[in-house]
This record gives sequence, structure tokens and C-alpha cells, in this order.
Amino acid sequence: MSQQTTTEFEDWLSAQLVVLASEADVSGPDGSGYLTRARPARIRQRAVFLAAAAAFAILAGFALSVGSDLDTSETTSGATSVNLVNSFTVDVTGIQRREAGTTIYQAVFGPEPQFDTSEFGPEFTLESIDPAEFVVPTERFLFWNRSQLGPRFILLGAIDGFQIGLNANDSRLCVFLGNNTSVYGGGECDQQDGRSSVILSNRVPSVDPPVGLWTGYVGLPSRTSVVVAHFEDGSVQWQRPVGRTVIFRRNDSEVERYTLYSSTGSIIVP
Amino acid sequence: MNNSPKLTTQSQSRVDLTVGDGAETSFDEFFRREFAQVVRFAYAMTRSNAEAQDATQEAFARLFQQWASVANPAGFVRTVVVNQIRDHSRHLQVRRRFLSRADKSEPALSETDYLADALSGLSKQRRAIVVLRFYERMTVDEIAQILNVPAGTVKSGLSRSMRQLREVLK
Repeated sequence: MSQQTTTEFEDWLSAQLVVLASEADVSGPDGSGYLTRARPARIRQRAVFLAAAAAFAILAGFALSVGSDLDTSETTSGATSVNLVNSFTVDVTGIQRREAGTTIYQAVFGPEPQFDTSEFGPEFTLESIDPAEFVVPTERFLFWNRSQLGPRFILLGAIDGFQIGLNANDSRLCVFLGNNTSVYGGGECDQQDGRSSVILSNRVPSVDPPVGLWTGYVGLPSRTSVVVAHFEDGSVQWQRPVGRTVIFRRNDSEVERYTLYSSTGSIIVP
Repeated sequence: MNNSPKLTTQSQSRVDLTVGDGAETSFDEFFRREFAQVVRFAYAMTRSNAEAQDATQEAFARLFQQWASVANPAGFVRTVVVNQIRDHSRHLQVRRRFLSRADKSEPALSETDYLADALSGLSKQRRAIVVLRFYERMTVDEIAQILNVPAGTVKSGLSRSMRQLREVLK
């Protein structure tokens, strides 16, 4: 390169910059490189897992929606059952709020565990929030969920300064995590990873608090009381589901497996 | 998006800073057309997919919020991207890789590796100037507009950056 003229160097520079830029992963929120991909070795395992979970969800959704074309129905527990997408139904409380054509519901917790969970350590708990406390700017959802905010938004709870929820639009279901300035989405927004698993991965430096890495499991069996996430580095987190969903903060270590427990402590095989 | 702005026509460059001959363009159209190019621009500045994606997504999210009032969306997103990218140096990465490959059968470093390393030795503003000039093919005035600095600052920054790059890469 030392023998190049200025013009030759500039041409070389332009050409190399094109090569360099072509290395970029250009998949976007619709793509989506935004979601961390599962490692190839785990894809088959996950596919089997998802298929089983989807089959269960279809059966459960079918059972709850038989005889009714309505989006909501009363359940025996007094909660309302909301059909988010074709086969995914969650229980919500009567509290709701309407905003720009969207009804914001508050999801209810799964069954309370009746067994000793101390062996799993402290719970990574989602705090229940009322729809009136929902602060995430609606317009930010429009960016992530390309067409519009869906007609039903399910608030799951709040943790670490973020509010977390599920949004359904047409047949697409997304997990959102945000605060009063920012929102990040993942899951079936990109229709890549199936409904039952979602990984949020974003480290925008300007966001306060930093978003960090999150992972979750959407579409749990309704009777799930406790979900234990076993990470590759040996660490463990657990959570009581809300809206048939759990979500955990993670470091660079991925979830190796989830173990689902009923309220009596028996293991549920999805 | 019914309130799309009237957009102004500007000079020709590889990155068309207009959104199409004065015609109204929706955010969606602009997003589809520009997203990949902006990611590539951000990647050329950082050589980090995570950082490029983060900065680009943040830029488009901000653009979405201000769509009705932004006259130059292509410039706007690049301005946000430059501001989002951290001003840190990963200058030693290539050298570490170079030292470590002696006893590992890693592929030889490419010219692009050396260029990326040399770029990372520049300040963020100078990196932006070089990438906007030689990748995005922008004029000095366009770069000055994006970086919100005088054209003279761009010229002197470009001159010094080129001198430094040639020195490092010779």
C-alpha cells in the first residue's frame, strides 16, 4: 500500500469499506438479527420442545374457545380468559384500559406453589402492575410491531425498571419490554423462534437502565406454577408464571433447559 | 403514517439524502429501503454487529417518533447512529489476533482486518468522516450536515485521517 498514489489509496479504501460493510448482519426487527439465535446443536431439541408445547397450547386453546367466537370468556375462577392469538389464551383480571383501539389487560399469576421452592434460591419476581400504571409509550410499539399495536395487550408485570407484556396482532405474538422512554420487542414478532421461547437481546448504550439480555418462555401450560431456568454456566433462576409466561435476565450464558412444576411440585412435561 | 412530510431534494450521492424527488414517502418505505444500508454504515464504523444493530434500531425508533418533522431522514438516522456509537477503541484486537494465531491455525488476516483495525485507531468523528466519505460517498458539505460541524472541520479531519490511515497501513 505504500506505493499507492492518493487516488489509488482512496479507491482501495472505498473498496475495502464495501467489503467491511458487507460483513454486517443486516436483518432488522422484522428479520431478525435482533433475536439471539439458538445454537445449531440445540435447534432440534428446541424444535421438539416447541412442537410439544404448541400441541398442548392448541389443545388448551381449543378447549377454552369451543362454542365461542368471542375474544374473551368468563372462567370459573372469576378471571377473564383472553384469546390472544389462534390458540393462545391467558387469564386476565377484570382491570383493563383502552387506548387507541387497544385493550390493555392485567395478566394473572399461575397457580401458587404449594411446595418448598427454597432449593431454587430467591425468585426472580415480576411485580404485578395495574394497566393504569402502564407507561411505555404506545407509539414505540408501532415501530416494532410493524402494522399496529394489536387489539389486545397483556401486561405481565414489572421488574428492574422495565414493564413487560405480550402483544398480539393478527396471528403474531410478541413479548415487549420497555420503560417510559424505550421499548424492545422479541419473540414471534419475527416469526423465527416459535411462540414458546423468546430471547430479548439488546444493549443500546443510551438506554437507562440498560436493557441487557433477557430470555423467556411464552405459552406455558396453564397449570404451571413454577418454572426453573437452568443456565449453561450452572446458575439457576426461577419464577412463578404470569400470563403463561416467564422471563429472566441472563448473562452471556444461555438457558440449557427449563423445568416446569405444578403447584404440588410435580414436573410437567409440556 | 398519514402525516408524511414534504421532503426536499438534495445533491446526488451514493446515499440519497432525499426520500424521492419531493414525493411523499411513508416511514415503512423509508425503513425498508434504508435499514440495511444504515446497518452497514454503522458496522463499517464499529465492526460489531451488536453495536451496529443497536445504534441503527435506536436511530430508526427515534426517526419514527419524529417522522413528521424530519426533513432529511437519511441524514437524521446517520447522525443518530454516529452519536450512538461508543467512542472507544478496539485498536488492539487485530494485533491480539495476529499474535495469537502463531500457535493456532487461524486464517491469515485480510486487508479488511487491517483497515478495520486502522479505523478503530481514529476518533469516532474521524471514523465517521472517513466512512461517510469513502463508503457512503458523501460530499464534505453533506458530512458536515450530518456531524453538525463546519465543512472546514470535515476537510481537516479527512486530511488528518487519511494521513494516519496511510501511515498505519503502509
